[in-house]
Amino acid sequence: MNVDGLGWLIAAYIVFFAVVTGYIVLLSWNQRDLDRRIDALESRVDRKSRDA
Amino acid sequence: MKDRTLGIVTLAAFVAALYFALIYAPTETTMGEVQRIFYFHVPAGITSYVAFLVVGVGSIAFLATRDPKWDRLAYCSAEVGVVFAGANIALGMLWAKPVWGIWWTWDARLTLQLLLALIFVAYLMVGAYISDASRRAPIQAVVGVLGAVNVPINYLAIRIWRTQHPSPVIAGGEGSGLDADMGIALAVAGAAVGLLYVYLLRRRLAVERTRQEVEYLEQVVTAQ
Amino acid sequence: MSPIAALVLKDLAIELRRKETVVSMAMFGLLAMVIFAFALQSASLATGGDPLNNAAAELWVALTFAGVLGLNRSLAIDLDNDALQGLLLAPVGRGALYVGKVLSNFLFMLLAAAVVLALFVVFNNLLLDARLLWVAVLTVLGTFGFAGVGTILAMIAANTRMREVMLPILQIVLTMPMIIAAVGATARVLDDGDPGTLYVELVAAFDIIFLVVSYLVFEYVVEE
Repeated sequence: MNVDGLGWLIAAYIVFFAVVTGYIVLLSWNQRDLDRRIDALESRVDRKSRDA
Repeated sequence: MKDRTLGIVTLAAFVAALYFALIYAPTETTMGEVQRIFYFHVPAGITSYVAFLVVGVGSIAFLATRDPKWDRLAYCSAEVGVVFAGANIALGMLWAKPVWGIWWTWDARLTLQLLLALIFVAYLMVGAYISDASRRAPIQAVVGVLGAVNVPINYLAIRIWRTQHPSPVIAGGEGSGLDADMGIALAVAGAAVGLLYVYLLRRRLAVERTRQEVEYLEQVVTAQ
Repeated sequence: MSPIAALVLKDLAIELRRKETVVSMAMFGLLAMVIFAFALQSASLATGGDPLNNAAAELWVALTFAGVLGLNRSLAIDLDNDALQGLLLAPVGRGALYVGKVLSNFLFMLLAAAVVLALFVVFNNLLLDARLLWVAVLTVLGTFGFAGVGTILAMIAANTRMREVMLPILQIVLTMPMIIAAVGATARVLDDGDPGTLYVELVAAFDIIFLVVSYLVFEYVVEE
């Protein structure tokens, strides 16, 4: 077995999955952040329409 | 299918793809283990082409119909496509260093992939830097069309310029051809990467829809 | 008088009054050529290569940078005092507006290119022969394609924050295949007098395709 080649192979797979996982984490964070803002905005809209 | 279900299916497909790529497929005789990078490098590249094709189609469809869903599809696909193109280039470099002895060469296919990534990064930048929300969609769509038209011309220009990349092993003409087991492994990995594209695109579209909802609610709040 | 001729004469009148655009383009193109000559010739002196190998590269880098600068100037003139707004309100078709702008940008770039080209001939001790005719033809073709794409990209950049940055980014990324072909053809002409039909065809194809596509989508960029 080509041991040196194995090192490159492992490095490549780690890079690939790191890129993909990193992007998924970023998307999840964006989604949760926006969901929080929606909750805050909706409660403001509700409060205002109740006051009116 | 719900995003969560699709995510689980994609994950399962990747477990299978890893098995086929790392264990099932035979070790290549000249390159050794490092050749197994191929099973994710090639699908990532093809998927990025598909993603950029979706940008072109979505941009034209948006200009024709003015339906915002096409606009969303186009730029979300561009972002996911840039991620895949980046992964494809990174995997290619990590293969080229041990096999060719160099990280990078101005070979036709490498240059084309780099230029494609640059075109669609520029496309995403245009969208990000237009402040007027009503003007952004049509202008970004025009850049999407110009970028998509550029793809085949770039391909021709670079093709005439130089070629060093291994020729396509599938349908690459005489003398090319892939071991049957390697073909199966490539197909499984390809399916997994394809599912990943659909999954990421759907997640990205969901983020975009929520963002637009937030913008709408902010308008409602300020209007009150 | 046709609206296209009126548009070109308007830009020409402005230029004859101010004499800014062509002078700054020619100066900038000349400086780009000189600085690249310093950089590349120092390298080829150190490695013992033929300085003429880099001549084509110096010419096209100079024309590219001068072209981007000219487009930025022409856009700035249109945006001053909301002159563009006035043009859009005028009873002129969007297509005519685009063609008129392309022609005046092309004209100014060509004037600057003539200056750069004249000094290019002197600096590289070129003979006044058929090779030079080919270089001139390639310069005209390349400049025309550059003006064709650049005119629509300038309007796109006008809608973004940071337009001075977005215009060069879009322009350089999207004209890349044309530059590759033009440099290739110029280098081959300087080498053995034959530009290579494929390269010249590619530059011409780029011109035609992008002129037509830009003409078709221009209205989406300037609509209200």
